[in-house]
Amino acid sequence: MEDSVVDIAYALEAFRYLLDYVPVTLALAVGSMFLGSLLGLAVMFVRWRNVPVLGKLGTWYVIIGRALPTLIILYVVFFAFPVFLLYMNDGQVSERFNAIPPFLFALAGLTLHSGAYLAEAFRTAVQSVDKGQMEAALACGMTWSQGFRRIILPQAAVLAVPLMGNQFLSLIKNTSIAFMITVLEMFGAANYRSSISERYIEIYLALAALYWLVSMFFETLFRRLEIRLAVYKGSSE
Amino acid sequence: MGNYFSPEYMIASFPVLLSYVGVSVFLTVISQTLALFLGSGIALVRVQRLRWISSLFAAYISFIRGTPFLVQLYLICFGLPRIIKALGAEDIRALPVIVFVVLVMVLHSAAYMSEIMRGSLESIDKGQLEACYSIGMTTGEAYRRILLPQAFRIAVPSLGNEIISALKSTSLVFNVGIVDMMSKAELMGSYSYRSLELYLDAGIIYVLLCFILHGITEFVSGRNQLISDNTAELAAESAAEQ
Repeated sequence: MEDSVVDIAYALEAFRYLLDYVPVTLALAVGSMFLGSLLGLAVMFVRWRNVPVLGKLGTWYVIIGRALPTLIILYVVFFAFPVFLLYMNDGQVSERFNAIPPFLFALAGLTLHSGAYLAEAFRTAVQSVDKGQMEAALACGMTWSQGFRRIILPQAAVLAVPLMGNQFLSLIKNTSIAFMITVLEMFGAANYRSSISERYIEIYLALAALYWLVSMFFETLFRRLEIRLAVYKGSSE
Repeated sequence: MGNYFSPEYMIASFPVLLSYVGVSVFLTVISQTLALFLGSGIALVRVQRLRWISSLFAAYISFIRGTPFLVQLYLICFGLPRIIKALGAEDIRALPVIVFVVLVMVLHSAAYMSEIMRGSLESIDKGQLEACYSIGMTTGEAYRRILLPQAFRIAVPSLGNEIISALKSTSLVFNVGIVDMMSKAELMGSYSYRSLELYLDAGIIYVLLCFILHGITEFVSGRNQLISDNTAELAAESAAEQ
């Protein structure tokens, strides 16, 4: 610290050290994106078909899930689970709680968070396909699920891809919150390292550069995918 | 649920946490006001396509959008004081941390807001600027009187979303030592071992704040509609009089 404010050599070393934790961050992002998509699809369906209780529940989930800060969702999942276990075991302290890695809590929290956003994204995509198409499919004698799979889904998917891409990019950044429930991902590793060496500038600069690179990689990937899918857009108009 | 979850404790601690809501509201209001000015300024520069400064801003926006808010927070709040200190200012510790937090929030939101403003400025018909020039307005006058008011009107819903996301990001600032709802909940939870109740309280407060902000956005976009409809009517009337 004495000789220079920013030690480039140390920043490079930190960068190499943080590189090892990229897979953890990506596993969190990809995992919660996948599970969140399933949840989002389910919620979109129950809202669309107006399933008696679930439809209303889905609407409230989307409203509240989008209004809550991600950290609070994570904390609630993290702190609710032991309480739930106590309740199930009738007050007996369960050892099972310690057996569950914090990674799974982070995964559950981020899934709940992204599920709300994705449910809304899917709804937008499906609603942008003309209602008459489903009616036409039903009139042709298709069942509702046939109509959805064969007619609506291919068109809605093209519209959903950019929305899902944006959600994934924001999810990558949101995984940094997982360090607060002791998950050792990119941010957690940087936090741990800087608490030992106190070289905040170098470590967080290296961390920022790494996040930036990962984000740009996926941004480019999604842009290419969008250009490819643009071919199919013409058919819906 | 017996002893494991205490609704009484949850209700009792709600007002305690609510008394800290001012910190989050203050941070949001002040940072978003400044960010709106900075973001609009950046958008204006980028629309003009001034070569060097435009690409400089493009890099800044890409950086902000490519890195988590938490990283920006740590970088500025832990890194910047050391840089300033190294540059010779010794009394940097006298500066309260909230100044740095506001700085991060402004820089963060300004990048997103400038993209929103650029999009809405570009969506306005180019002919309007040409029309302004043809009646002798300068570029500054044209933007101030004709283009920016329209751009703001288009941007209101997106700006509202950005302000809501900034409000939600205030839940992270306790990490750098700001005493707010989250740090109070953490402190109370370490005594009572009832963190779940406390974070549910904090969640309810955040959801309520989001609803209020959403309501304000709806109101402003509705009122904007009213204003511009009025001006359209007035214009139609004055045209009819002539």
